[in-house]
Amino acid sequence: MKRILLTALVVMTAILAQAQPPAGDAKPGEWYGEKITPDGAVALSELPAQLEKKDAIDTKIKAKILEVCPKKGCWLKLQVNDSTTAMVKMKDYGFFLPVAAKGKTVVIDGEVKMKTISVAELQHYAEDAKKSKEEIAAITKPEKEIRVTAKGIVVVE
Amino acid sequence: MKKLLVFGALATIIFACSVSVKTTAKQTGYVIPAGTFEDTLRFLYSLPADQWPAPFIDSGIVWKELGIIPESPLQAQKDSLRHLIELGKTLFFDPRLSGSNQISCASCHIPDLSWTDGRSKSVGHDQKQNKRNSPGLLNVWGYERLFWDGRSPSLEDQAFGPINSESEMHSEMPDLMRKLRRIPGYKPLFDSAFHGEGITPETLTSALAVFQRTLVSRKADFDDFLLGKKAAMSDAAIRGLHLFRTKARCMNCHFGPLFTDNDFHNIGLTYYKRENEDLGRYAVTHMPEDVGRFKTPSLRDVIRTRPWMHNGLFDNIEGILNMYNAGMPQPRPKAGEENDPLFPKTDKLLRKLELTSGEKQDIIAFLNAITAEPLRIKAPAMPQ
Repeated sequence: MKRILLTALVVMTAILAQAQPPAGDAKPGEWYGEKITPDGAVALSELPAQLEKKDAIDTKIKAKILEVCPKKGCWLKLQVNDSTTAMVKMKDYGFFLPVAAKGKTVVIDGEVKMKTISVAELQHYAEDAKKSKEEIAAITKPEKEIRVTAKGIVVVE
Repeated sequence: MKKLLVFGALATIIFACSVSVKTTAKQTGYVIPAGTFEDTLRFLYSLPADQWPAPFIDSGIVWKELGIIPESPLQAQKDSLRHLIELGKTLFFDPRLSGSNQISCASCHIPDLSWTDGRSKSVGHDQKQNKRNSPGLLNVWGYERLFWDGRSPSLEDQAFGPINSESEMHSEMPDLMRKLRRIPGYKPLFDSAFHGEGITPETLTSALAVFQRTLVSRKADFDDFLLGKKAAMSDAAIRGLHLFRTKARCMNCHFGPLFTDNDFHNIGLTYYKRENEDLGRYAVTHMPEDVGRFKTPSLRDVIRTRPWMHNGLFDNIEGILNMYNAGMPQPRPKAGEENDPLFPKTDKLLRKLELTSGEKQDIIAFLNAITAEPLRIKAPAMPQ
């Protein structure tokens, strides 16, 4: 019993010490990571076509933030077009965004890549999620996801 | 004759110091026995610490006396936390925490190297060089903030960093959870550590944090000396201790039993607008006064944690002493930079010290006296 209490205490302390996303309103002009200018940014919707030709592109992109990691502000989801989103992680896990950045338009300087999740991986995941054999067998196409590693981010709208 | 004069001067200084010490210390009253300069220092530093010669500390600094290496606060609960600590240790050594299954926490925090990696900058995923020097983990429980720029408030939070960073272990937390849940050997370990909470990012990082809080330095010569073994420290090391506290001004930042003020300072290594530029804590706080500030590292085991500084660019302890002796780099703004609010300012605590080469050697002898060989740690068996 004592052990459980102590463990609970340690875990509780741990949870209390968990970081929050940084405070802030993410107003236009606010920046995170390396200080960058918004000049020369291209719309994120133009990237999928470019990624057909190149594996990775170092560029500035402009996009709207759909979601911010609610626990730490350590990842973002961006809108690419009506049906596609992109996932952003911060370079070296070096900086975080406030949750208020949700819905804002930002310019991100970083590296854009297409990540492919193989059929085998997708089937693994489906197995883990206790999907039926038929459902697992129905997975035949790899999934593609745009990934951004951000060096710096500035809020523009 | 010269020795007598030195002794006389020292006695005067000590008298002056003891006056200020006695305002806070209990009045005991002592007579310094006749002897050499070293005998006198040895006598004074054998007194209870509150009667030591006062250190040279600039006004406004809230300092703590040096002392014996403390136990981890987890010590008392170690038995009850046995399963949790064992799980944390296993995870710490498990390379499957990385995207490539090749890099574990212990890749950059090597127990034999006092939990550093001996490199200027760590090498991460795909052999890519990281940005900063891997810090040792001994006594890491004592830091109030983690990372050189202090961007993390706890070891639990910090653990997310290297695991998720594309340049370090290159994992994705959701993928890692799936991976660990597929290793049957981990389930009983998590079960006995967390009583049914399962494998989650929180239980993973909590176990890693608790394990790291158990890592403490072994007793060094300085600790033995404080515990009454008077032969544990050489004359040079005792002179070094006195210089460390006084003329060399080290104690303005490196104080307390862990030799750190847990604060951030700019020691002139910002490399502003040059290769190697690192603005340090400024990137976290966005406050101009934080440009170039980095966490004060503990000096426990310092002789074994080379190369030094946030960028690991210094691999020669004499060289570092020479730099501090010169007051560290004090860059002046060039034309056009006079009004740049971000132009780095070297901390006012740093100034020319006029240390002789003998005095520098004495300080190094003292740094050796606060360095101990780490315990040998065997990597645990990996769950399958």
